[in-house]
Amino acid sequence: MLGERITPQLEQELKKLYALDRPIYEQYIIWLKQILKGTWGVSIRSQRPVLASITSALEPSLFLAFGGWILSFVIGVGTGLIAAVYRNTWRDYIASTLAFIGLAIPQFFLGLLLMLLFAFYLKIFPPTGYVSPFTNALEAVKRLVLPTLTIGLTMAAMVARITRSSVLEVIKEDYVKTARAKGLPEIRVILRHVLKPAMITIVTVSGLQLGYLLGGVVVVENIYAIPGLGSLIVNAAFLGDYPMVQGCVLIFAIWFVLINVFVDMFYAVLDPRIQYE
Amino acid sequence: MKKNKLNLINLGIVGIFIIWATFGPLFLQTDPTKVDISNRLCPPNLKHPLGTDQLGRDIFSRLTHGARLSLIVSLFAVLFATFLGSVVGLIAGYQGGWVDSLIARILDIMFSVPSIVLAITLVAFLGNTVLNVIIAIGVVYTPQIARVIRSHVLKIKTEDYILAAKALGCSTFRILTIHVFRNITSTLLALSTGYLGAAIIYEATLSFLGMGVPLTVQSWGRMLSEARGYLALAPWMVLAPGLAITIVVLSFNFLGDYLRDVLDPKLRGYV
Repeated sequence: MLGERITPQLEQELKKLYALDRPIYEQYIIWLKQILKGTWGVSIRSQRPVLASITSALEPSLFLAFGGWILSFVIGVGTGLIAAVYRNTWRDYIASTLAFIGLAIPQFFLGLLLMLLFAFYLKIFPPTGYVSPFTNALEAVKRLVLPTLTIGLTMAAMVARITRSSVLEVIKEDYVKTARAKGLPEIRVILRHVLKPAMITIVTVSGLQLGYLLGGVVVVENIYAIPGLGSLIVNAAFLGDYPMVQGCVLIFAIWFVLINVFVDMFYAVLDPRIQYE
Repeated sequence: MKKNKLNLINLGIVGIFIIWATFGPLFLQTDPTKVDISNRLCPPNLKHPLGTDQLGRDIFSRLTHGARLSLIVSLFAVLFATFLGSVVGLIAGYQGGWVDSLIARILDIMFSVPSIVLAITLVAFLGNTVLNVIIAIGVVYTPQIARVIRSHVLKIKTEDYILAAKALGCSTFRILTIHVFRNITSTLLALSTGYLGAAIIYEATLSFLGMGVPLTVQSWGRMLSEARGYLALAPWMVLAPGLAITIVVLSFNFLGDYLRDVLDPKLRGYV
């Protein structure tokens, strides 16, 4: 970090400062102590506590993650359901093809395409930047639309595929035939008797995606210049700011575990047969 | 009939991609690193079929060299993950007990970090060379392959022919390699082909974020990253590498799905 100006004495002092002269397990214990103290270590670059940087970067990432996730869920379940209900017709072919393209298109390409179209040609939304919704709600929404759309569309592809296959599995069941035979309107059969049991798989996959999403916004934050956790970890990794990288990885893991606990709890709501002691 | 035609087209695209990536750089007339400032940001024309970039470098030429990198990285990363993943999965599934629990916990830890973050962190600590990018992407896929292989091994372990092999006095190594591994090769093939397309995206993503291959190597991801500053001026800079990635990955994914349906239909949902 000093480059050319390094002297052996300075090197020793720096190593001592960051405890790099200790064995690796001692460094780990020091790091654990810092976690408990609530600083999560000190950034080598900015000299600020890591936790402070993380909390200020958390807001944009959370808005992006939840916004993109809700969008992907709505679009994905919708497309997948249409594909399954009208299976092997032109509707299914269009929906399935779109889902396949969505899986293959890289997030950064879609993001740049959307930016090119909506920010440069149509000039509806500003190309980059972030404004907190708590300071200026309208401006914030304008700037969040494109990044959210990028996340939502790429993730919707996976949800759509899972929805299609799990709905197709349920739609063959006898109780669906019974529901139709007793004269229920088709929309009710699909929503109550088909979609609800199919939801378990969909929620699992979708929940897993939300678990990964806090870190999965890395690319989108990079394209749209949003100062979130993704930008934080990429910059830290770029500059060799290891305490910051460690802190970011820790917060991603905590988020992942939390989301999984919530998904597990939600199973019991979807399927009353599941009970936790 | 319709499905067959689609598979033929995809096989064709993948074939062309492989030939292009392997032999293309040998036949190129233009150097991908040749800077020509007077011809910067040229739209596609006869001399430069896909136009030029911000330094006047020929985009088609860069794309051709980038194709080679994509192919090399994705192939070796998937090979790496397949090898390591199947070794870990075989040991965990066959050994059972505390070995299995330990490996399962380690895999869980790796699953709890978003894969792109894991790859970025690895490259950050190892340094950005082509080999380290291959290792980083390989490590990301290892737990996914190990998990599937483990569950297969758990099933195979209880088969009668394994008991027979044990009764005949086969060593554990022989049972694992000849009796267990032979029976999971088709699964492994289907699984790993399915990851080829995604590995191409990972390499491009890492290079896009500036955490990928060194600057001297041409990469589709970095071409897109450089195109960002010239979005409105030179949209062909975005479209050429972007469409190349999308089409190649799409074909690889279709082909992977086809192989999975033929070799091991039960894998649906894993890939």
